[in-house]
Amino acid sequence: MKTLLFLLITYISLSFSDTTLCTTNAKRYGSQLGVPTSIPDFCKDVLVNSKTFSFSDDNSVKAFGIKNLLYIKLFNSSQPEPLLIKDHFIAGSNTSLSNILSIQISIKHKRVFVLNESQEGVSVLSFFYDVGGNLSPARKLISSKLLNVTKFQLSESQDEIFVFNSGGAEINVFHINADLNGKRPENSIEPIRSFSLGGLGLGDTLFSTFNKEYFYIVTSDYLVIIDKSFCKQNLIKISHKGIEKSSKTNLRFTGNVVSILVDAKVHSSYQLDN
Amino acid sequence: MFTVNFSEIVDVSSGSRLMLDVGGSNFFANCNSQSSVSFATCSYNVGTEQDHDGISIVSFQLNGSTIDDLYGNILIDTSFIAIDTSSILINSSGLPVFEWEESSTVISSYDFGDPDTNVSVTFTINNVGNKATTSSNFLVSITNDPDSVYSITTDNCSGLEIAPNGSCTVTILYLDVDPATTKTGEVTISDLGAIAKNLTLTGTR
Repeated sequence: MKTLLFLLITYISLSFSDTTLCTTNAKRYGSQLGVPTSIPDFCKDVLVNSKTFSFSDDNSVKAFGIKNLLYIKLFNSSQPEPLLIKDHFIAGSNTSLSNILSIQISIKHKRVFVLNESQEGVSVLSFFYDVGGNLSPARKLISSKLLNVTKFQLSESQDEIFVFNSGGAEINVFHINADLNGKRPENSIEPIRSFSLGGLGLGDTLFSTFNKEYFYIVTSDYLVIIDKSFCKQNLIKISHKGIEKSSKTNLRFTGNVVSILVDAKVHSSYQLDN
Repeated sequence: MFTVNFSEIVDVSSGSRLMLDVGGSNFFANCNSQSSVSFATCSYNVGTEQDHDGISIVSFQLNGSTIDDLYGNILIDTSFIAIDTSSILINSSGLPVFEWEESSTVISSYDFGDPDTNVSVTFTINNVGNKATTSSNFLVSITNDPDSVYSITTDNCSGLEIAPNGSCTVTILYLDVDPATTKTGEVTISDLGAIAKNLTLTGTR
């Protein structure tokens, strides 16, 4: 038992030092495009085990993030067994990456989007995924509406970014090209529209997500389904007992049925309209 | 050797000359002293200077000398009509000489514009010299790219032997990244002994 404990402590210690070395080197990552210097290869293994990652629907792009370091893998998805075409890091002083909270991928825009936390606040940074190096963000969304952001998602069909604030009680929608430094109308960093559950008496917001063009918000008493234009709302009272605020809540979609998972167990299921 | 034609028979005394632009510097083709001629012959000995895109004639100068006709009228107006000398290359023998081409036009700069997206453009590199490139030294590379927005995505040139009058292509990607400014860069062709040839790149976010 002592040996096992020792090994465990050693493993944790090694993992910690590996990650620290990777993120430390990431700060100094080179200034030339596509030059994979100063980040050791073993960092790729560290990254692919990160809890912060995103895969494109067609599995042609996989992005992994830790702190200030992004690792991108590009695949030829037309093969029966997706073939790795190339991989690279995106890191360095130009990137503005500091603490990666969440990642999304847009095949349409050829970009990886990152919810990034820094001393200046939370921002949505996007990078062209087919090039590695010490890249400047393609677009940089910084807004007071990003305070207390917990997650974000993309709608490629509408070229929009959905930002979930305050545990999902508020949703702000920005153009996918919103950019602090932009000069085109689509670069405006003002929300296109906003939605707030505040004051509706629906209980505490426990979970929120965006799936197939609809927002789903789970509160302690309701499942709220809102279309992406915020025109239609469907309030479903959660059957039998409500959900404890301390519970770990999630949603699972199976065909036209959505199930609320509480602490990884199905709490209740609901048929969705077509 | 250059020939300067006059509209009538003249006497040319020693000292007159043609000023040439050779590779951005001025050199002189000195004219011979000659009597009762309708032309003057002026010669220029090539030194170590090089001009790979063609020399040009800047001016005809009396330089303190006189040119007069058979009636004693002194030449005052030294204006002239020059022939096209852009095909006269200096010291190009035995070296590869490069030019950049895009859409069948020889260029020295390229503007990706303000596209609001990434743009890839394929450029042709022509070897207009008298020698093939050296495979181990022939290199196309991005230089002076402080914003890291330019990269070579396809290089069909570096490391290859490109024969005289041969061509190859490179594709350059412009990344449309923040901030919303114009970014400059250069892509350089280099080879052993050859004069490096730059293409200036600009792109606006």
